[in-house]
Amino acid sequence: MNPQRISVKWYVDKPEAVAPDKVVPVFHRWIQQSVVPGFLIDVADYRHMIDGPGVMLVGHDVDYALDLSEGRPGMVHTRKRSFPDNLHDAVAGVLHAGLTACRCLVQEKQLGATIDFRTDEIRLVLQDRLHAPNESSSFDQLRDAITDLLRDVYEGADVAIARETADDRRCLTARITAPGAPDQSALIERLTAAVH
Amino acid sequence: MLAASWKQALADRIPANLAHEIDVFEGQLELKRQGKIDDKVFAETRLRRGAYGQRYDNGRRHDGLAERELPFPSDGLTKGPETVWDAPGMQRIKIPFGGLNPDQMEVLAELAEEYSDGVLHVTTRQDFQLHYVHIDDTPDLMRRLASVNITTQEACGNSVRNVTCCPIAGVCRDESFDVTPYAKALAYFLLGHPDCQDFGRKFKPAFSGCAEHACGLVMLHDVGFVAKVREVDGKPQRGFAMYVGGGLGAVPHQAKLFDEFVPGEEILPLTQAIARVFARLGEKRNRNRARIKFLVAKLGVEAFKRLVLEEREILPHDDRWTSYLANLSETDESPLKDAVQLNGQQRPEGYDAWEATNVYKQSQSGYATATVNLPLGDLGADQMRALADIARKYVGDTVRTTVEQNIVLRWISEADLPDVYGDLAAIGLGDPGAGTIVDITACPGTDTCKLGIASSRGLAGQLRTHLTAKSASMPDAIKDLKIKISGCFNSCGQHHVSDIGFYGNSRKIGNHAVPHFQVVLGGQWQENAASYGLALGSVPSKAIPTVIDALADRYVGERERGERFQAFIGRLGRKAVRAIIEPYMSVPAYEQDASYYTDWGDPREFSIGDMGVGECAGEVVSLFSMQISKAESECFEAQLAMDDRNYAQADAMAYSAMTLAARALVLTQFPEVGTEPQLVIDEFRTRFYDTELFFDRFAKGKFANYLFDRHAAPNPNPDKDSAHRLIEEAQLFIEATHMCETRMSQTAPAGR
Repeated sequence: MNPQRISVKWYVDKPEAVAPDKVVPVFHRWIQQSVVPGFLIDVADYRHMIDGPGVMLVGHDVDYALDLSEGRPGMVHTRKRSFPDNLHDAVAGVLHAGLTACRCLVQEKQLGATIDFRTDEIRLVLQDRLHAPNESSSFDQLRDAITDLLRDVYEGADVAIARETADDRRCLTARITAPGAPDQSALIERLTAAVH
Repeated sequence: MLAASWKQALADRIPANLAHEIDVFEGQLELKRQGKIDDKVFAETRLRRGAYGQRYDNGRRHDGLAERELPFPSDGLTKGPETVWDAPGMQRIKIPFGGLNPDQMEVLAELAEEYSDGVLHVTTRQDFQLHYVHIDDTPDLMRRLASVNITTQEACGNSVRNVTCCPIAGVCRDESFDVTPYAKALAYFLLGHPDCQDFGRKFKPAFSGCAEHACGLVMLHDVGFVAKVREVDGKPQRGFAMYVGGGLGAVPHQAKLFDEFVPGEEILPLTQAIARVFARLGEKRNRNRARIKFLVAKLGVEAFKRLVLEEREILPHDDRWTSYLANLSETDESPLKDAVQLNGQQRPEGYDAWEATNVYKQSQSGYATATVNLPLGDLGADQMRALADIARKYVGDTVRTTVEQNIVLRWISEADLPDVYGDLAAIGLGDPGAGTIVDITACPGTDTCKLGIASSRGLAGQLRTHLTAKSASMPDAIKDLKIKISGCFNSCGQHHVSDIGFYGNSRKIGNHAVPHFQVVLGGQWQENAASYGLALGSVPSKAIPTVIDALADRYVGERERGERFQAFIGRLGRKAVRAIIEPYMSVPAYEQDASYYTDWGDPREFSIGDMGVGECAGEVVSLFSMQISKAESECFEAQLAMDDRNYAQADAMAYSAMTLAARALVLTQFPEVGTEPQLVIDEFRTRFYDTELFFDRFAKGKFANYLFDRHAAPNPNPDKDSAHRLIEEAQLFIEATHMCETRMSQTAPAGR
């Protein structure tokens, strides 16, 4: 299975503290300073949409967003070009880049330490209905490809991977939960090892 | 087993003609990658499939500190003049008369998720736009649309654009009759029509069911139709008041009355005749004067009409002019549910405010049309899917987009309205205020458009918040005002026809550029956009909310009983109105308030450096160039078929390529040749072979004989060798066609 667009969402720890308007200048500066991985182009502001994509940092090969969908803010990282040749590495890369972006946002002085991200829940979406249709066989392939990865990075935590919906109109989506997950730094370290 | 491609997966769901066109387009992408298509020709080719450029696609962007090169990995490959191949683009999707069904809505949602940023945008011409789309993804995107009978053909470029129509046509209490079948007939009649391929600029038709409401905004269109019924021998006859030569752009023109009454059977041939006159006499060198409005203004409508009627007289008959009239009921809609009155049902919180602005009682008793108020015309993929489910639950297929960037659900049984509202609110689409002052129209502006000067969407978002906060206490006279915002003078936000309009510009203050908007007041939305507002002065973008408040306060305080805003502005006079906005026109020094020096929603110091070369005007390429490009693509497709060992198809496509190339030459002398191969080849023989125009010094007429021989004696059993040979011959014939055209243009009289 070789999906051509994969996104991951890391959830904000205290949603009530999120101020999307403050993220707009932060994302512009990330472009100036190449703060996060990827070839970044522009900032798209969708704060006017209820439960929408929030504030997006659009790139050529990747996107980032302080996403407001599901009524739960989070950092969504999407890879849309230049994939490794196997799903394990592709997912590892997306998880790593997404969580790295979370850490960058957490460390942003402009945001005054008001934002933090959970590590015990991830929403993983394969946005490619041709190569990864939302079918049980595809989900099995996905689960098989990432079980070892998740076991390694979440060592010690009780990881579960569930298919979010069987509605075949929706993209194949996995909800990964890991109560007792390590903190961001530990997780990033392990993901760094996984991608290299 | 998974299909290897969308082409394979959708093979039996795409109409053959649409599939072929998309294959040809995909072939043209490959030819462009190989450097075999000229930049301008390719740009116009992709524009005519709705694949547009976007801001920064010249590979440069000012990041707030400095202008930077955007390091796209295109290695010099371009998709048009100064347009980098890998730069994100915009895909425009035509929705004729705004008509949508839930299956189409779901595919649109899928495309937004997989090829764009997850957001669908409704335009001021009832289209959809997807942004940040890679050109490589466009063929599959088009295939998936084709599988639900949507084509992107001629969504952009110098072509007939979307045919728009009143979104309540067929359910309107005031209409003369349902104009939907006429709008649909015209849309599909003109799509790809040979007489519409040689315009110097775009061409926009519109339909309206009545004269007095805004509906189809006929007066600002290139050609427009307002439904009328007259009595002939005691019987009602349906027809249209026909208008021509309207248009906005930098300098708006009101359409002129072409004919008080055109019967239904004449609207297609007359529009075809207008297209021919436009193609023949319209300006093509000066892109700024190439819209039909300039031609009508130059000739005068009476002279223009004479030319059109002369053209009409000589048009070869086409059954399609009238065949649709036998099936007018084809577009009739049936309600999903029986009509039940709303009687004492529980109304959820917020319902009353929503019903007051968003619900329209239809002419059909017991039914209503609800407007889904989309913030800045945007909805997300999940919202679109959920809206499709709401449509299936309550109304079925009766969904339309609107030119106010909203979506309407028609044929709701009134008793279901509270539940519809509840379901919409649950997906974040339950905002009231549709069509009111908080429902602001804005073009994409500097968000994505290369021509945007100031942030129309940034301002619209700010005003929406500002005015929504006040809406509860706002007088009705203010609530009913319309605000429309364009990012530049090109009027894509239709600012000329609003009560309060703005278009973006820039002013130099000291060493800094400051975003401004020109204030345009007193446009008339009613009566099909009956008149345009006038520009009164430029105000810095950050002062606009205060200007709105000042204008609103004066209007409320001084209007006469029942006086509309346009009349109020007219009564006050330009000088007095300018005096209202004048205090807000000054810009504080940078050191005093640097916020004026950035635009809404963008912290970068404002600059016009990111503007690029717009593609709205398309590229003027010769009819020959456009046609020969198709021949080359067909020849390429023949090679692909041969690689797939489909020798019969390879043979057929090689022959088709030669016919297309011959037609490209014939069109230079005989634009009305049509597409039937025998006629094309006969004309080619007469005009180019018998005259020896096609001959070159060495090969003489050899290459022409490749076409004649294949036409006269098709191979009943093509094999690999014969297919290969025919493809080679087709390639040589195409080359010879190029040489012939080059020789002809070198000997043509000056000024041709």
